[in-house]
Amino acid sequence: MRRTPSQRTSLQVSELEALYKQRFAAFARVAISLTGSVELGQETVQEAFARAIEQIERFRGDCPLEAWVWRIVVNTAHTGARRAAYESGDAVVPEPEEKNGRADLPTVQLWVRSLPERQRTIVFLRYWADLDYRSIADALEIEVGTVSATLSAAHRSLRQLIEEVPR
Amino acid sequence: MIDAETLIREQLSGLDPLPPTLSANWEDVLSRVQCPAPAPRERARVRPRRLVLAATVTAIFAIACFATPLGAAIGRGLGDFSDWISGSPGTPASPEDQQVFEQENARSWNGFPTGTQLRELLQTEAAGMTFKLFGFRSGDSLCLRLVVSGQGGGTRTSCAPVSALQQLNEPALVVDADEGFGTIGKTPPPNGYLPQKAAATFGIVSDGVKGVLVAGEGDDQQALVGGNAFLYVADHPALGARVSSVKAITGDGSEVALPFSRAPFGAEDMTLDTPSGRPVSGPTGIERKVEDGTIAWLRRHEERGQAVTAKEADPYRDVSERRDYAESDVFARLLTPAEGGATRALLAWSSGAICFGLYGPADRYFDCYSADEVFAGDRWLGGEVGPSPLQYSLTIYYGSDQFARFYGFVSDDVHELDLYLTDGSVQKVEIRNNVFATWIDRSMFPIRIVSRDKQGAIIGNKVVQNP
Repeated sequence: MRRTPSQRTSLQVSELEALYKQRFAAFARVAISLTGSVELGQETVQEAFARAIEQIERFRGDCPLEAWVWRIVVNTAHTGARRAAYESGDAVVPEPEEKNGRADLPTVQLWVRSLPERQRTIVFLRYWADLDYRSIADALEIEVGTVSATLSAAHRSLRQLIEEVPR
Repeated sequence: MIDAETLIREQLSGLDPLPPTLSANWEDVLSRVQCPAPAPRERARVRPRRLVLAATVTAIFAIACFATPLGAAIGRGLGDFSDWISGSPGTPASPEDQQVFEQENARSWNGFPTGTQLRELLQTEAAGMTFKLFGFRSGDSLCLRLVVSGQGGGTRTSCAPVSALQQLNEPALVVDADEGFGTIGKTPPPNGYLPQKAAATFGIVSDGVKGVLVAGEGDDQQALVGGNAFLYVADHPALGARVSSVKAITGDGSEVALPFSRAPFGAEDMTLDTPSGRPVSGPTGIERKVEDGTIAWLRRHEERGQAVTAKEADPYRDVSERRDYAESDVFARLLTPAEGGATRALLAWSSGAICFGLYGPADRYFDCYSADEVFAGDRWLGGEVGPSPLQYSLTIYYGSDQFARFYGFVSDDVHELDLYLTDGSVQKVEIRNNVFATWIDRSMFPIRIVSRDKQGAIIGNKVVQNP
């Protein structure tokens, strides 16, 4: 049976709620990483889902709902981080806060932060959100091959950094 | 899985759990919803938004070379670009400039061939910097190299295949647009970007071109023309200003619009402004479903191309860094995807994985895939139709480049690979030993990638909106 637009939208909001509850940790991790702040990361996830509800009728179903939400989360995080940097007078995205009271963030996380923005975003989506290439491509509205190429470049950069550190 | 990937996974997974102060709160989400939405609960706004959704940000990709439709009507002979074809546009570069080029080139394992002669094409001053445009030919590529000296300066090299000129219907070719140099100020505006000191747009012109007009937000601007090239430098362009079109003025004074794709502005502008607005061309659907694709010669260790030794530094390093390298028999071969080109492709077989690499003056790529899954289709390609017999990457490294790099490898099932462009032409992709590497004009998107078997039946079909 075909659903009416309002039925479909109500269903999708319910799906958004389910997605939020099921994947909150992944969304939060990525948002915190992209913004460099626990507070801003949490704010990002909340605002992104609010925006997703507001715009649910624009979701055309041409990609999975989760990928569409990821797109909003990533855009919200980037904009929020830049806004925060501007308001604080910094020209760049702020460095991460201490995590769980620890200042000794894993080196790899710091290395990841040194990557160009697009590489960094894709690395976070791949390893923290555990998205496959297709989902990352949908989320960022880019080609699967571009995801692959960008991850390859990120791996190459990280390998170089790893080798430069005495073990 | 490569070492870097394992390390990233291990260390990032160690960051669990989330800070204890962080927890899901759906009610809070609902309270932020500003417009009526069919959510079943109260959604009164309790506090103002803290995040402003507005900005677009920068995107800088990498260097590339390019191509133009092989199937396009040939409206001109190569004679119009004869100086380029012979590798002698402009005048010889000074010994100092040649030496700098050779020193930089020598740092790469697979740079431009030794003895490549730099030609000086144009020079100008803007924004307190000196812009020198050089050109040279390397195999099947014609390259422009812009060297900018002064504070904020740098070097950009972009190339075009000779075939691009062979197929060109217009008297000139834009190679690179709005390459930015230097920034103004220290504190960025809300969108996070500082204005640039200068932005350069440059390309190749044929003998009969008398001038080039570059249009942005204002009136047309005259570019410098000389040495079978053009160079336009916007001095202190407005933030986000982009060249929107380029026209060549021919000998009789007529203006000819050149194929052009605007450079993106902003990191969130991940979808480049390339679709032509024209419909996708070419056949739809597939005529035969292919399963269990493979590369037989690689699996049986047939010695095609050349072996990878320590002398081939970059591919050797990539292959030897495979985690299971020491434990397994890695069979790796270096191949030439396009005759006469400097770029080399790597195909390797290792423990059920197929690895592919691309190495050249503007190319650097390496990745491994499960041999069982790489040709499985939708998982990788997201194609409109089922199992796909090719694996590819479609990449623009720097958003300023006018051509996207298209490279990858195909299973033995693929006999022909065609790109259907929006001008109605078909660009045939050369496949050699199952690998390919070419360029696609960004102004010809969206494109359709069609692969056919030996009988000419379509076995893969995918529309790509953007690189």
